[in-house]
Amino acid sequence: MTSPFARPALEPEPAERPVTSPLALDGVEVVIEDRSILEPMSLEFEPGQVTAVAGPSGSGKTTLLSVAGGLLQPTRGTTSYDELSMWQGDGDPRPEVAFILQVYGLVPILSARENVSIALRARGVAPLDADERADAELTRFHIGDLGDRQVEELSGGQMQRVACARALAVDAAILLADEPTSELDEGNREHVMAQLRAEAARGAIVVVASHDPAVVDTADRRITLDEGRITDSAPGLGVRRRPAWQTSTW
Amino acid sequence: MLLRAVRARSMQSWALFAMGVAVVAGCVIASGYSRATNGSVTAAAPLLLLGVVALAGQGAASARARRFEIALAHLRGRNGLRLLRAAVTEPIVLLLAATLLGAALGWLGARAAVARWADRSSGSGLEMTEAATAAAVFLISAVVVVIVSWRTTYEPLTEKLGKVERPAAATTVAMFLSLIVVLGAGVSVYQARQLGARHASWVSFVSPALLGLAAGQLGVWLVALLARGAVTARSGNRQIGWFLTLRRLTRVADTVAVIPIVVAAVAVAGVAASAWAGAQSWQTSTARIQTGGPVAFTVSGGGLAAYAASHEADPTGKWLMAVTAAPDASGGSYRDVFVDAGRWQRVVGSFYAATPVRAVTDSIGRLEAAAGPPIATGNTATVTLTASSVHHYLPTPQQVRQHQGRPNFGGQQYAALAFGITFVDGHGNVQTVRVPAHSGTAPTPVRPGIVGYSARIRALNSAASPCDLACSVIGVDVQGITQGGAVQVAGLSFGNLRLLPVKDSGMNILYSKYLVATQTSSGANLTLLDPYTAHPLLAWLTGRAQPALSTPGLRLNRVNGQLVAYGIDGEPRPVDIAGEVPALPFLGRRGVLLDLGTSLRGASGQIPTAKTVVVARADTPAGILAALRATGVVGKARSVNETLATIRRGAAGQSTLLYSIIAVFGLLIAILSLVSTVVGQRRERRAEAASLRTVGVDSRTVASAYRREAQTLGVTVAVIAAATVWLACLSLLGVLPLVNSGRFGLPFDPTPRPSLVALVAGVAGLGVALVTFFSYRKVARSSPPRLLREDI
Repeated sequence: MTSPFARPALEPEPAERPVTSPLALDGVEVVIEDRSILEPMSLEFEPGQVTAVAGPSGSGKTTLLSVAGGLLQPTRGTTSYDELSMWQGDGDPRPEVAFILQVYGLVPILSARENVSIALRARGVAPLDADERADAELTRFHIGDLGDRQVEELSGGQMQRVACARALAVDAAILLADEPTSELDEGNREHVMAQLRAEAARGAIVVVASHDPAVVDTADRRITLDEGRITDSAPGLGVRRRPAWQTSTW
Repeated sequence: MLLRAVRARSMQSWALFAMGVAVVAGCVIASGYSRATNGSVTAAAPLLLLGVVALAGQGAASARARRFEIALAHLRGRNGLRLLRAAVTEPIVLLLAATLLGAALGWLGARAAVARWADRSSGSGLEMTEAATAAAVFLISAVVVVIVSWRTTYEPLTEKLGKVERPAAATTVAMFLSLIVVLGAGVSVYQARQLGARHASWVSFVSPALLGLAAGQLGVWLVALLARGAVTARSGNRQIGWFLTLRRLTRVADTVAVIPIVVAAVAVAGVAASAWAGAQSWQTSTARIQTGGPVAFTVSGGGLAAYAASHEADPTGKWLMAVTAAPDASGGSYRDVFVDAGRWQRVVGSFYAATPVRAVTDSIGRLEAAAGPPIATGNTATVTLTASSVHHYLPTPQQVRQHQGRPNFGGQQYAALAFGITFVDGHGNVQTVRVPAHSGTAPTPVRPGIVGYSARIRALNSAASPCDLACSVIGVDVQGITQGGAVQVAGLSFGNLRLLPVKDSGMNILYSKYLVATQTSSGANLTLLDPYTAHPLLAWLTGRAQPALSTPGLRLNRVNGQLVAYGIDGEPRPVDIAGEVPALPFLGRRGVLLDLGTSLRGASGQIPTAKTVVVARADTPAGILAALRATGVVGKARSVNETLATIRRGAAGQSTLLYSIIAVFGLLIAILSLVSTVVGQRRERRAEAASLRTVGVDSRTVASAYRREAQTLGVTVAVIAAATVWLACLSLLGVLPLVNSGRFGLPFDPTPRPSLVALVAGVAGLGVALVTFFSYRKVARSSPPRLLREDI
């Protein structure tokens, strides 16, 4: 029996050679208008691992993710993955990177399904296949019946889950999630985290920025920021309150 | 507080302010200029309509931009009118300021326009009409802004405070209003056509704009329909750019919202441009027809003087031509123009080539222009008689004086035998010179057996000769014949014209006959008088009808079954219509054209209302012109350009100019609408582009989507605008009071000019495409995903 969450193959196929190199930040520092947003720091995010970036608001979590994903050029230092710089010069992320943005970043002119499928189509998936996979991803986050809804017709939590479905649909090697559960109830929050862990289990590098202790606790590794400085870096609790394979019963 | 709020939304504020200034200034200029040129102030109606539509859109955008503040006011407990007051204060103050500035600029603009084009002062101050116009525009705009702001106050708080802005889709009210516009356009066009140009009202003026709005709205629906179909049809298409374009065109009303106002403005501009082009052609043709030739010299005398002067100065008939016109506007049939037909082809043949009068050139040969009238010059009239007849029948001048015109010979009273030669002088005055005159000369032996009498030819009120240039003899009568016998007239001359030029061919005057016979070797028909009744015996009654050209539909009178036209002297003459032509010089589209030379024969003077000119080719040698001036009968020269300038400064030129002013401001409003719409969407599109780039859609693909959108908008605007302008010109150009051609003037040609329509529509489409594309392409390139982290 085919799982309802079985996904059509991504076209083109992901790189045959499994990338095992980490996402490396080497001496990265971000200064904006003479204000230090990130103090110089060097970090590595490993494949197969969920890393939580914790810290209070304004501590630099989103900036760290932006630099790590190639959206923001560091003032000093480099970010690299698979021996290539993450910064491409125009602020666009590399194809291996998928984001879950704090503000969702959904396209208002598209429906929920189209918001997901557009990410697939941008990676070369045929439109019909992309739509089919988008439906599967939405169903994965329990909003399969909302595929035809326009963005403004969704609640905050639904929009956040569409953003999660969009990011996870592309089988990205690097998944950067900024407060992915801020609008979710507990059940959905744990479900989303389970899906992120599943991505890590696939071999993806997963970095989650959050100030929610419940989210941080599920990570394999925890980095704490405060005013742009790393104040703590330690293994996470790796709490798995509900295994990913059981979420299909939701 | 208010200034801070205005500064916080500077783009929206400036757009609303600029739009208000443009609308008010345009309306004030249009109404002021119309008032100063005796037009209708309702001519500003299309501008007001465009302005209201544009301000409604801008007001809605301004209200959307303030929805957070309105929501905050709502949260602070403001409701109902208090909330509405909070919502409308800012835009109303902006509109008030815009009205004041617009009224001032409009007043200055109206004064400048009137001074520049209408050649008169528009008054010293802002007239009530302009002030009322500005006030009306402000009130209507304020109502529109209040309505759209009121709608925003009633939106749910969640929408006002929502992170994701709801794409502006058409509301039910907007749909209803759109249907009203479409239906209203049909009604207004019908009404305008019913009213016609002479009874045009504000409905007539507003029709092109309303038609444009309706067509634009239909275009919006068509684009949405096609885009919806295309999304389905292209669902398998891999081109993300097209996909995004079609989704936007399907979902977001803002994208295509600018189409109606642009099409409406282009419709007004297209009609104005077509009217302007048509008016230029009409004015040029009318100027040529009114002038009569490249250069026209007014003639102080009549047709005979012009005829003689032109022939004297230009014997070859290549440069000068005399024309006399009797443009009696009160009647319909009494409209004649007399041209020296034998000279037409060479003097004005090419001059009328581009006018409806060119048909005259093709038919002028049918007038069979013969030799002109016998022209006499000089100051002496003489009669020579055989000496034997003098004794019995002609008294001496002394006898005439002694007996006060009735000499007594041997107790038997004789009436004085005297010859009266009736002639027409160069001014068209009819006079008679008597030979012998009371103060004439004594009989003078001419040769053995022949004596002559002579008399001076004098003008009516002076001693000068009226025949220095030309006179035409139209009759000879003999008075005083009472009893038997015959007088042998050996010679009869008037000035240099020998009325009996052939030796021994003199006429015998028989007392018992009622008529005196006449003949001349020149072929001229002298009109002689019945010696008893003194009634003119018109020579032409026995002659054949004169060929004439007529305009279509002209109904000439008939006498004894023969068509007659009025001659240069106002007397009816038989004519044969040799051809029909659409227009005649001086007369326009109604009248009869006759050969001047033929008409001058036997003509007993000239009607007072007739106007006479000598027209000259543009390249007439200076020597010919000098010779013409030397004749002393021509006055000031008038060129076609002078006539054209007069026409343009008259009512015929002002209407098209007024409509052009309206068109310019209509386009300005449309441009402001387009720019404010495009700029207003940049924030939303920056977020959209950043979102798309975040998920892997590169900036070039986003830019290509925007490029295709711009192309679609441009093509849509161009196609719809072309169709609308064409339709508006066909249905409305003829019924708008753009050119006052008068009763007999050339008809205004309302046919749309394809090249002009294509040019106007093409420029509009290209403009929309370029403005949209360059603005959005910049957005696509300058919206990296990191913008989203700033929660733009």
